Amino acid sequence: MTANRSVDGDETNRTASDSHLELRGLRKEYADGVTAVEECSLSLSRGELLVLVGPSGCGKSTTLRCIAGLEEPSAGEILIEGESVTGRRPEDRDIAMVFQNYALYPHKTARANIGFGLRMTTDLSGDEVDRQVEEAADTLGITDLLDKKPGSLSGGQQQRVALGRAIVRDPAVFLLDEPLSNLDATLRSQMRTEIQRLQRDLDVTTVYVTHDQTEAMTIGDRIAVLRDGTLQQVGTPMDCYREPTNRFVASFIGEPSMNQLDCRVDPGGNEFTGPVTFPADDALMAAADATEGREVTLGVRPEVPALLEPDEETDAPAFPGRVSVVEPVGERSFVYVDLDGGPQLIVAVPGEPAVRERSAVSVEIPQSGVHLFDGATGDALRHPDWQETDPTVPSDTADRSD
Amino acid sequence: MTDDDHTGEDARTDPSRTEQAPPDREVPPGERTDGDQAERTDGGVTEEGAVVSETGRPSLKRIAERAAAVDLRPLDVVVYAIYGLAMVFFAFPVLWVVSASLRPEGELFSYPFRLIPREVSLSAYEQVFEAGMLTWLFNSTLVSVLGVAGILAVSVPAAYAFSRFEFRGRRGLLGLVLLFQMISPVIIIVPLYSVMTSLGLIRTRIGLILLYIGIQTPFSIWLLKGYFDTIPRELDYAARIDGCNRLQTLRHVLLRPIAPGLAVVAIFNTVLTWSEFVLAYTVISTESELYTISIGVYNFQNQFGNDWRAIAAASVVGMLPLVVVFIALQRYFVKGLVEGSLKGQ
Repeated sequence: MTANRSVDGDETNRTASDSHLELRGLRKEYADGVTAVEECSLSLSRGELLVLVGPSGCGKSTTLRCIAGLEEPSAGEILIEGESVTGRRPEDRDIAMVFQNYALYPHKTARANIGFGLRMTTDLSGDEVDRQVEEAADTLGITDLLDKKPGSLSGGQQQRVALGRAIVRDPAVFLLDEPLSNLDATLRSQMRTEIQRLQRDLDVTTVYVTHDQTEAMTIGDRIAVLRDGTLQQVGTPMDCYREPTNRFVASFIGEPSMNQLDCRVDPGGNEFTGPVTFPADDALMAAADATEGREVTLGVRPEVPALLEPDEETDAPAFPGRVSVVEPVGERSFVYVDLDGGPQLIVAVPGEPAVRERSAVSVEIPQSGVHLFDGATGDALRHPDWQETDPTVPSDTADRSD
Repeated sequence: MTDDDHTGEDARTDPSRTEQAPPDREVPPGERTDGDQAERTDGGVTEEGAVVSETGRPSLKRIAERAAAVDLRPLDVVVYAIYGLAMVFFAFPVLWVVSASLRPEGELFSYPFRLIPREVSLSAYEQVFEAGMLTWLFNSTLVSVLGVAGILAVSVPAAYAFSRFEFRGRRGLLGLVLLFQMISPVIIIVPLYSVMTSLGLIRTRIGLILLYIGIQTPFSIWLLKGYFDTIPRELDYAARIDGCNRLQTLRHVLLRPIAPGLAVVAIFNTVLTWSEFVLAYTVISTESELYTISIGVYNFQNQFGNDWRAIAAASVVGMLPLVVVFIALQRYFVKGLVEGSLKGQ
């Protein structure tokens, strides 16, 4: 018994030191029977920024509200600094939250907005509250706005006041619910950097919710992809990009989306048949053997294929097609190619492409760049070996996981 | 008003119009007086009006010319004419009551009718104050203030709960509240009377106040729920994270944004409780110490005839506090609307 207990104790200690915020089997079901979040388990180390990302209605905001204590989870536990906070009131959880519409109190000045939480939850003197408010305002560069009301502030200024309201309480955990989606594009990237800087400076554990995968990729230490209330994958942005666990993550992460071709495994001929016939190499065939059915999905990132002249010789599989649309976005262009077999492929090419709309091309897809997914379950079977194609990747990954 | 000001400004700044304007002013004085009088005829039928109506045609033409001078399009003229007509329609009874209340005895029905009395007399006012007007004013004030306070005290938390809490039977209960609103109190006046008698609430002010609260609360809940619904839930969330419980959230965060709603409920219910007659008469009955304004006014009617001067004087006195309340709250109403605006909605 004694031994057992000491083991338990060790485990608790380890959990406490390792993870600052932890969700264990979180589940939220609403009264009308809709399950918003299912068996969500996550762990964040101190000072980490985790992005919850997914399409609208995937349960990411519900998860955040459960952490905040604004909603009671139907099952599961939430731990902050190793202590269960499930069932505690929001103000007793040592969290702060920033909302998409900022939710500033319209009749209070910026100063009163920022100081309101301190006045309600602490017995600090008015002077002390004012001092802390000034300090927070100073950090965010909004000292001159303190006596204005939200109605007379711009979107970016309101956003800063909302951030001030959150940081003034020096919370253990920072919860950001789509904080940038009400800002215009320029301001958005500016505030994104600012939030990143603030989070690093304050070294506060942060959960950041967004539906924008670009935002998730750029801001997160790690990202957690949610779909229909179920956690799909948790990992660094590049992990999720390079090794998506399933077809959903593969199509959700990355802009533009991964090309997906639904095929069948041809038993004898060492090839995948479908809208196109794709010759498989040994690695792909071995991976395809793992499926129970014969349905597979080939996944090709837009960066992988190359555009060739219609009858150009090549070692890799190549498919004839016709250019449908060319979308230049500056440093690169997206070329939409209608393959002869029917499907459309998006090919990203650097700079301005040499091809024109409606011209005939050949699309080369090297086998080494192909992801393979189970056609029935969508689970990943094989990912391209990234170390070969991009030698700088491993060190990058190592940096991030630190 | 602003339209008028604006167009006036245009006329002043537009050089072509300033050129046109002087001839207007050089019109022979006689004709101009005609025009002015014609305008007055619109306001009421006066002796002078009868004279001017003979020269009505040229004066109409003058109005049109003036309208052109301030850049009014024909449609605007029609619209303003309709406004004017509506104003006359609604203002006339009020003016008539004021006029009637200021006459000496016996002048009311003299022929021809004059809106402005030949002789002003305050005798009707003396009469109503002698009859107990101060008591009625006091009773009405008490019933209205406590009634409206009670209505707000019940309907604000109820509306907040209906808007924000998820509980079983919420929709059904809301429907039920609406159903109660649809029952006219007059229909249930007999059972109401017997219930109130057995509770000892008949012939008491508190009985009347409770009755008003009961009858007006459903509507007020619905109205306020609408206001609560327009305020983003995130405001509640932010307040809870800042350490407010539900009641503090309501008190510190939500009450100010719904201030326009509170003003509407207060104005509406003040008007209603102040001037309500049927229920007041049923509950207060013949207890003259407890009369409200409306019962007081009613009591000037009797089997020997209606004392119209006294009724008019009592009505004017009864009307004034409402006008004051309305003007006071209306200013707040507009202020609340402006302040309540939330960005990012």
